[in-house]
Amino acid sequence: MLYCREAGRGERVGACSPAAYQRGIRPGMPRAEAAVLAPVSAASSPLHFVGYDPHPDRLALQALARACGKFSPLVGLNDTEPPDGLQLDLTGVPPLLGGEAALLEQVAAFFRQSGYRVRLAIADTCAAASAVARWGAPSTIVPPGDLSQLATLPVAALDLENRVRQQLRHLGIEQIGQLQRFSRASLGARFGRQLLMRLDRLSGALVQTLVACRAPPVWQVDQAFEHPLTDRGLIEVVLGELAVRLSRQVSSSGRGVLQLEVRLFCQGGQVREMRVVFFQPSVEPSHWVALARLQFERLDFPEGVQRIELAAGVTAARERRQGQLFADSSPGEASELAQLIERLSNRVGRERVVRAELVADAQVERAYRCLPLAGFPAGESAAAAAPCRWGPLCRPLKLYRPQGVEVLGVAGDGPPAAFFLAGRRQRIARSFGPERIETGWWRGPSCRRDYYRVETVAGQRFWLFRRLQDQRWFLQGEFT
Amino acid sequence: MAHLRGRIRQLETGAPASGSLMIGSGCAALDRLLPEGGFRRGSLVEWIESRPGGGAGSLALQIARQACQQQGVLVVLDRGAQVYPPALAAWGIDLGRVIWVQPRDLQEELWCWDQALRCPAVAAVWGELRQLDSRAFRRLQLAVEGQGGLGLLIRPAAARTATSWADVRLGVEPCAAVRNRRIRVQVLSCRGSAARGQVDLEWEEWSGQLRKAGETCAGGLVAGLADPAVACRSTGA
Repeated sequence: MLYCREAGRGERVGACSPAAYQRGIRPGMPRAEAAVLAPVSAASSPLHFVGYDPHPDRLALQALARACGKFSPLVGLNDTEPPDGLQLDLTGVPPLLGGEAALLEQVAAFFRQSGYRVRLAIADTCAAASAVARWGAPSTIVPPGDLSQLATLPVAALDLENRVRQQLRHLGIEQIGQLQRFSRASLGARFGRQLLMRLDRLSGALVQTLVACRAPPVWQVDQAFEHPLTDRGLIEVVLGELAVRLSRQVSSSGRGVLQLEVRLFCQGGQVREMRVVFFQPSVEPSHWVALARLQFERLDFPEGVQRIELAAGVTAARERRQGQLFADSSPGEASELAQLIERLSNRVGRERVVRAELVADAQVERAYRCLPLAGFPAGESAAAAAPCRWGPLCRPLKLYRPQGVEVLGVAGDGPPAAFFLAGRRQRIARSFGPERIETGWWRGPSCRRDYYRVETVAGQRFWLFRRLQDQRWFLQGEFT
Repeated sequence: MAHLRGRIRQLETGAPASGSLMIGSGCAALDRLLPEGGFRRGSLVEWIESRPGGGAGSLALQIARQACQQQGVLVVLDRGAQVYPPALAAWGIDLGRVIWVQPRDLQEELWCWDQALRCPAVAAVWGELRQLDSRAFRRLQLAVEGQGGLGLLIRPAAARTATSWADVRLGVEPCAAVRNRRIRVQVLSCRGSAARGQVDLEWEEWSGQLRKAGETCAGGLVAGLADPAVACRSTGA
């Protein structure tokens, strides 16, 4: 299993499974190179390439950070992007847990039990501990005030930019200790301020802030009934009361709800869930109930409801408005629009009320992505949309899943003279193309197509393509 | 005459008479075809597509673009999730101002049309509506009346014989052409007017500019000159 991420030039391996590692694949390797290594070494178990998404990794790391709360009151992620380690502030902790060595052993055991392999180190500063854990001997404890162990670490432990690393390599500087022989002034002048800053962090001359991971507050209210409720009107009344209670909790923190979770626990153990989404952070209970009703009307519950639970799933600061979208609307219009989006999203479904964004991808089906409008804080998709590169008559307004068509009179590499649509022959009068669209072979099953815009003798326009692998023809679009 | 027509119209719909209520199509020949010289905000326009791939959707989208030019958003209603956003962008639609809704069934689709048409911040609603009975159609017309939006309904050929509550009903038929993309637009019915005209329009192949068929404009001059029939100098008197 390989996780690939987009780097500056093409895709690179972000992480890989032990099996892949055994075949010589390493994180940071270009994907194409990994693909070459894969089939040669073992044809029996092919490698799976998966798009790398740093977000779940970050969430998992945050969850681990919270779990480490039993070892330290202050646990944070390290400051690389994306974060790849945890930092625990152990000030005053070791005596309580039997000393530094015992503490280290307990942390190691905790991670072992959870199925993780970890490298641990204790040192005076965050940067030193992080560097020793990565580059030093496993489970090292650096004694207080001792800088000698740091001196033997490779300069790679400083996490410098490529240019500086190459300069150092040219000069034959491989260990941090070698750098400490130079004066600060000459280091700064020759290698820039980043190097000085990293050294200062290592020694503790520069204080590094540790941002603690804390569990998000849980806003939740519920009500249980002695006799199960079956009347919808009654359930709505209870929902209204719960909404008022929850809204009081949320609004006192200065936040508003973007996703509201409603759970109805029925007799017999069944649970019915509804997720109400909002375009703007809301604390208005009547508005919550009005939107919940859109889903509640279509919800069926076979038996009586024993307990109702209401929880604020996603919240955001109330003063933050959805800035990027529809920025030039007047305040009145913006609120009308927010209401429309919320109503549509709650009735039709959050994933079905979207904003589309162009993506620079040659493959026709991947040239855009959809972003749900409601239920998320604004500004989560910071990536700039790709510019539009086509003329109005170049792309069909309606795109189908490619459907094979029978064609007649194909001359060489050119377009056909006619094709069959719903059993009827359509003679082609004019065609425009070919527009060759190919995707890289390293992206899995490759896509090699010659697209033609064709006009029938009646003036209708369609989008056909020839699959170059087997010369079969497909209809994919209609210029409606 | 025009003034009187406007007064009658105002009495009928209760809408204030104002020039800014009209949306021009961006093509003078098409505007001339319509008794009011454009499309009125707060009304429904039905585009009957005689054959698939005929160009009704593109033409309606161009009107939607005109409607959203100053302010308001475009709602694209698309039950089959078949609309291709890169094509919207290619037609000059700002995707940041488009709400793309993909209802699951007919009931939901009609509800979405109703909601979107009622919203004052929506400048235009564009979408294909295959099934629409008279009662639902009337409901949509009531929803849009008095609002600033324009409902652009793309209907199949079978809808030609059905009852319509649209203000303007246009038939769009593709035509064979040697150059550019040509369509024939016919006024099938128009509220408050007996006008029944038709016009042949064409899109310039590369720029997508809409104009009356056969007419050349500055942009089409080069293409016109390249035509061998034009290149010969007339020797007539």
